[in-house]
Amino acid sequence: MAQYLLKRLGMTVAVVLLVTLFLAGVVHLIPGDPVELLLGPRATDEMIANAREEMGLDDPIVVQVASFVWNAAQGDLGRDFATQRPVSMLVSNATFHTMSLAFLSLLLSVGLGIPLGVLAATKPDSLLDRTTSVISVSFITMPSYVTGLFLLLLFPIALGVLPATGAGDPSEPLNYLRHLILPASALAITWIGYFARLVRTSMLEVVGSNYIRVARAYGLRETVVNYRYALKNAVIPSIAILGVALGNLLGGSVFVELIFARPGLGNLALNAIDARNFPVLRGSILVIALLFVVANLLADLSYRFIDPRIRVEEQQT
Amino acid sequence: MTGPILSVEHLDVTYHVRTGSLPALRDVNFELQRGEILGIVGESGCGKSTLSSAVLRLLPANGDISGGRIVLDGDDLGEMSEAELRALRGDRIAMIFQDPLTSLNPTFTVGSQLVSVQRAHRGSLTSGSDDLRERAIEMLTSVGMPDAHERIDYYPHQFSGGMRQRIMIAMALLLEPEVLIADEATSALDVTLQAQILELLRRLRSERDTSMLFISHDIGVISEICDRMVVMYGGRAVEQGAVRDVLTDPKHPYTQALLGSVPTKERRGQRLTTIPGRVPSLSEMPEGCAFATRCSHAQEVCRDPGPTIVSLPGRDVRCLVHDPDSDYDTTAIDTAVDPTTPAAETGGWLAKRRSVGEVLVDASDVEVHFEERPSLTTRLLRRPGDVVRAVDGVDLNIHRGEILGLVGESGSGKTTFGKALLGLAPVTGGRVTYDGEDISGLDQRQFRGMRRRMQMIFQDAHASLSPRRRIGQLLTDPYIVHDVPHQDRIPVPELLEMVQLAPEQASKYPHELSGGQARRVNIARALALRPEFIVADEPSAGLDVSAAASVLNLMKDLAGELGLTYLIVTHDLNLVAYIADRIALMYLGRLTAVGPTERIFDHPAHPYTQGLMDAVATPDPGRSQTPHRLLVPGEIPSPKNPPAGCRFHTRCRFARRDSCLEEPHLDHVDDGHMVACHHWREILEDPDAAERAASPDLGYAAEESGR
Repeated sequence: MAQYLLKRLGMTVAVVLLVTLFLAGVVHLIPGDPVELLLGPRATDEMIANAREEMGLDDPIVVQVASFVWNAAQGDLGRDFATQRPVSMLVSNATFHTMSLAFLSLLLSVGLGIPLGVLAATKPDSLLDRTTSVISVSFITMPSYVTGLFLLLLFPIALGVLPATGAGDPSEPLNYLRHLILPASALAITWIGYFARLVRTSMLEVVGSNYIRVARAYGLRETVVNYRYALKNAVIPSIAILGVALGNLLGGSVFVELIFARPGLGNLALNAIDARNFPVLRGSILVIALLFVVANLLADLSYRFIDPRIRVEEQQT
Repeated sequence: MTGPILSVEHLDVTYHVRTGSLPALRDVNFELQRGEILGIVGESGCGKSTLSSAVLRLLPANGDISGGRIVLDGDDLGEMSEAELRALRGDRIAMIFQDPLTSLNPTFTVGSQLVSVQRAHRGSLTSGSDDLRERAIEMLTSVGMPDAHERIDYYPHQFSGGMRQRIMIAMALLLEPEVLIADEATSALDVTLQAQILELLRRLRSERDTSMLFISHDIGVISEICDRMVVMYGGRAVEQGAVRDVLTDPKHPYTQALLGSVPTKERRGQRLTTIPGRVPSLSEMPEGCAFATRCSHAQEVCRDPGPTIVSLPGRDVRCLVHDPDSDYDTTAIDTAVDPTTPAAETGGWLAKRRSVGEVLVDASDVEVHFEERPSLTTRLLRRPGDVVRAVDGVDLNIHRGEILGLVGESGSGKTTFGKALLGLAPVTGGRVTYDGEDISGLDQRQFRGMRRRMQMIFQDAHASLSPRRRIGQLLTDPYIVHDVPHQDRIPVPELLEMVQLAPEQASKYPHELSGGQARRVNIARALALRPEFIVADEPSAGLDVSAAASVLNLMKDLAGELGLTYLIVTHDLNLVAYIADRIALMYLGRLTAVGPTERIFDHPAHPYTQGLMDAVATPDPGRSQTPHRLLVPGEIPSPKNPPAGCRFHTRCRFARRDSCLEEPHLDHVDDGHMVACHHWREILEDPDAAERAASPDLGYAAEESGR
């Protein structure tokens, strides 16, 4: 296990390093001069020269890349062009909002999707099963920006119950949560449907397996058979895609943050693109990539924790 | 209390499907006495599994008990509530299932599963988890698991198949059930493991006096372990009585045919009995005797509703032949077709066969090593990857016109060797010549011309037929692949006729065929190119006894008519004893013995040969029920890391530190009988030496190293 962990961590670091390298060089991959693009046509030569120096664009590319990586490793992502505030501060504020959004959505997807799937699997082809299947398939087909707009129209506007925009104040948990609930639901709904389908399929497969027959033949209680013996095996495929789900939720947060005007990473990156604010864009993409990689690492590890067969294969090699 | 522990009284089980009701069991009647092992034998579809599910009241949702009673020690199972039934399962009746690999939950440790079973019945009131765990360790030890206190925390996949079946048995015995049901408990195991498990069950019976219902399709196994037996056919118990009586004097025509279709050494040169047609499906089950449609004794009265059970002394038979009060005309029985005495070979296939000729296939020092894909770290550290030595230096000649049987446990490398001869597995060392031509160095393209002369019949008949192609297309595929001009092709109807299939089958898809028919299509496809040499991998595997018998008859006929040379790869010693001219035994990639069939069987000179012969279950009332004295302990080690010296020494009774750590070479005994053992002279001089040789107790160590 330790060897596997080390190997896996090494891979993670390698991926992060590659992303960082790419981001450092990305300025040069964009057609045209970044500084001229940034400052616009009315900039004087002197302003351009100053800006270039400030961004370090006159250094050899290798030096630029190395210094970006080196600084990034120490938490320094440069300064915002417009406000001169450190990018790391902007990004870390936004990261908090995005992560709480993504995690609550993940919690909702798993917390609602898995029971829905189990419920459908307990009585296959019953009315209950068909109803949940209609619900989950329609959930899967709903893009988060459509759901988001509908939720926005329904709750804050028609019913006037929940706040429409903004992220609320993190120091007041209840207020923050009230702001979070609608965007998180909008984001989660596809994955609720997806998890429900996945769990239903694997649950049905497991319930038909020999060891479940054996458990029944040995007089184990139905609840033990279904929720302890069967479910543990049936959630393994779902856990395998948790990492993908989290990454997908992070990516999907861009739309939702825009609709609900939340100051998250997605919004930050979007505004940075608009303003050609390279340091901010680089910083936010780096953090998104980092989150994605870590999420996958965690999913892989938990997968191994639940399924002993994989654990032993690792021990043997 | 006396009286039977379990009685099944006139049991009817019906499955309800959209088209109506299907009778799965009809009027099944038997009693299991205390301390008795009762065998239930029958081919697939006869209702064996339905019976075991019915006894636990665990029938599928669409099945119900529509008549009769199941009484366990005075308690009628039909009157029990779901909660009472749950309390009974595992506690008073416990079951051992067929497939040990899938019977245990992969995500829980063995210990936690054993504790859960106890907790389901004893609750946590009477004993703490430490006691339950102690009890589980005790049971695991008693079924032969070494270091049980440590291995109880292992997960199921960390055990071998044989060990997992021992765990299942431990689970079954945990709560000291009144009745143990073993449903094909040894069918998925190798012959040596099967013998070990049977030995274990026998020992447990004598120690604990457990009553056991032993369900199997294998009459050999039934005869090894059971006191009495029930023969099932078409959802009915057609005959029951003491095992010895039924085997020596079967009364029901079905039992007679079934016994006649088992290949054994004694039947060499005889045709096996086959049963025409197939078991009627549940929806077309006749009103009268279920066997009437296939019975050579059937008369008009047999088709009238149900022959009732005829009680003879010590025997119940459901057949009108034995009922003096029926309208059955016993004078009309055609004794010529009495299935109890299988017809001697009509025409004599031995006579028809060309005499054994010159060497056709010559394998010298053949090696097939597979390199496991090394992981990134091993590659970075430049460590060598694991090498699986599937075949590791085999010398074997196959003569033209001969039937050679290649026998070994799973993992011995026998199938890989067969494939290597046909260029279907890479020969990484040594040489294979075919008809004088070196074929081991040929690439795929060069091999193609060769392949017309040699064909393989694969083990899984259905899986080797493309599901989306009709039989007719499948049979002409070889011609297209090899670009055979039309005038040289054998027409499809003729090919089908060669394997005794009707021409209409050509338009069917593989899934519409039975296992036996699919096997015949495979044989027909192999024959399409008029090959000389055929490698048949487990030709009887997965087939019912009677279907297997007719496939074997067919293979023999074809050998005679077409002068074919066969390599029959199998784990079934009975089969090769019946059909093969010579036998080669393989263990962990090496040959342990080669020789003419009679010599191998009459003078087994290798401890492994002795062990396999001792382990094989034969429906022979004289031999069976004697304890296995030469049992091979443990399980076959991994071919990745074979034991040093003689590979068999870890499981051998004769293993000596001084000699057996050196690799033995094939030594000439006599008459083409060769043996790779340092001690074959002692073994042959003193046939009882094996029994006296102390059990090496190395078996479990061998298994460890194999994991």
